[in-house]
Amino acid sequence: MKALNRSLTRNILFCILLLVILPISYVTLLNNLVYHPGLRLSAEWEDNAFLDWKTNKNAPIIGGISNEGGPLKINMEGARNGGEIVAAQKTQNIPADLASNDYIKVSIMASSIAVASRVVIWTDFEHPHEVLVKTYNDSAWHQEIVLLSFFELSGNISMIELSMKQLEASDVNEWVLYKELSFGNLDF
Amino acid sequence: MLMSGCCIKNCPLAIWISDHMMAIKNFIQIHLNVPNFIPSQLASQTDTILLWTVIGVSIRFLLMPIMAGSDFMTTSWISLTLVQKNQLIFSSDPPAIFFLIGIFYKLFLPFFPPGILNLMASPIGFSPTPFQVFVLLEPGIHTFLFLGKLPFLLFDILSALLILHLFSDGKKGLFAFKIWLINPIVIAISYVYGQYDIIAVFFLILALYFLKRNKYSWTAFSLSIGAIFKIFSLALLPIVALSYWKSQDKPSMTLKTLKTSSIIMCGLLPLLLIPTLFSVVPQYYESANFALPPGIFFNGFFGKTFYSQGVATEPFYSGLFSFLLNFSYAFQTSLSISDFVYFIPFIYALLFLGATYERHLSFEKICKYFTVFLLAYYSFSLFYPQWFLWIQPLLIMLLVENPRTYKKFFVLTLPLFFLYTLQSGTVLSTIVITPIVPQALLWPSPIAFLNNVGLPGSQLISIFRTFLSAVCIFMAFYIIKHSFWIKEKAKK
Repeated sequence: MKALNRSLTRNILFCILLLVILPISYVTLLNNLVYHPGLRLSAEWEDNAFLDWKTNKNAPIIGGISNEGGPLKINMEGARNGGEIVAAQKTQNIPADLASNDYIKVSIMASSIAVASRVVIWTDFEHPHEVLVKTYNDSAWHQEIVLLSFFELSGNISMIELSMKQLEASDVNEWVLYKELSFGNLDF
Repeated sequence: MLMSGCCIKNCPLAIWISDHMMAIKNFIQIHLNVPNFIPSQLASQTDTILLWTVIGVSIRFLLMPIMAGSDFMTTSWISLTLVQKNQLIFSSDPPAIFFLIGIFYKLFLPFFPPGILNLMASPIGFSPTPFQVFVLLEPGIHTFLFLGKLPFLLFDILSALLILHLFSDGKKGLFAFKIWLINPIVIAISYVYGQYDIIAVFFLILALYFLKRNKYSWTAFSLSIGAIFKIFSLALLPIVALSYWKSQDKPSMTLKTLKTSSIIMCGLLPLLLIPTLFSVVPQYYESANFALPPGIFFNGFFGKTFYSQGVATEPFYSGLFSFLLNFSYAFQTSLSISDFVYFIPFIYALLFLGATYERHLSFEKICKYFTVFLLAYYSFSLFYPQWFLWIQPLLIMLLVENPRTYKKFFVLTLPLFFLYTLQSGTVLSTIVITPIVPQALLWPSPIAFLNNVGLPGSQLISIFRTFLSAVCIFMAFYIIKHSFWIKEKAKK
């Protein structure tokens, strides 16, 4: 009986060694040996106040932009068709060029699924490049990070546009809020 | 030489491991009364089986925490969202996989690194690269990868043990078992890329296990469960039903029809019922970035419409149509009318018609019909690399039955397959090694690298893909010629 117990103990120890201790040691060793700093975002340019943004609309609709103590609010009212846009645009004091910025980051909240939030980069005043067009089904803040290299844009930034787009005809008041806009680089 | 295991057997460590394994096996059999996983004709080979299991598991353990593709991170993200928020993220993958992996992850939650769990649960939207790829850079990623792939290891080892039972000759079973455990494609797909196809393949092997024993209802049921994870195994169901029909010599046609219908229902009911159950789970609104061009990065909702790879679709059907039609060659009969002949369903229909003319559909023949279908699929369709795992048990069966002939085909598929994976860009190359080389996330894809050094990257890789198609189609013809036509003529 004693011999059996000894053999059993030895084999259980072997199983624990093979299936538990060795993998745990190996994984712990890896976690300590390989340096993992994680992804860090280093902002080169930020706008948290949204003070010198101007309104632009693509149709004679009721809507505009306002600054509510931080976040930028864009709204639409009255009867309107799908596809209509109200935009906030900024041309002064913006990041100089695209090459020195990996990403654009912004937090967005939208009133409903019926409107899309848009982020557009104008490389000159005739070439808008949409980098983000999204809808949200809740009234919560959503942080968005867009990697600019994917869009293969180059040159200077002439204008940044944050806007809202009506998806279908409606007469319901809608709005989109933007905050914590930044450009910067990924670091890891 | 490697297969003989004689070098391994002489190693003192191997003897030590083998001794312990033998003792553990004896203990389990004597004291715990666990059903025997090893066929009776291989009872004397238990130590070899255990030794090879240890070798197979060790190789897998080595790779599990150090590599993963972006798909693994997405699967983990969806499974964790289901576990933590009770919401299902729609994707082109079937929901069942997230429920199954979610069960394992629920158990692992206390052991997952908290930083990674927080990131996975955060509402950050990353475009176009999903943010989950950046999780590969986080501290504790090795623990996450190791635990996250444990479900694959379970199904993988169970598959290996089932393969032992697919052969009447124990030696052949043992040979197949060894090949499975060291098969680079099996290992790479599950533990380097982190794809979950091994779960569907396990149910395919389970179906073959039942088919070998003429348990048709269980075969159909296993195929159906497998199809819940990957639809491909359902392609075997009509041939199995046909085999059952042919095996029955009942005088009553009605009884024969009823019995065959019941087999088909066994194969369809779980597939129809289980997704319906999943549909009651609240959905997670993953917002798609409509500014991205249609393609692999464009997934999620825009407004109320769900998009898969940039195409508005129903999540459940998108995978099915991609598999059967979208990735297949198609001939358009008229330029003015949308009339297509899809090559893959066409091949399948031809094979099925061929099977109807067989007097008796044996287990081996059914396997070969399915092998030919899959070989044709890989030859003439765009296929995701992980789909190549589906055919591995069938190729191993061919190899074991006729090593002289199929060894060269089998060996040829290995390098050609890995070259084909380079078509997937960074997803199955540089991203995969990011956990151990974080800078690799910024490296160019192999095609971009070749282009940068002045070589035509895409064309070069496409040439090897063409060779892979040629090997597959040659193998398919070889099977047809030597297993279907010649023998039938000889019988006549």
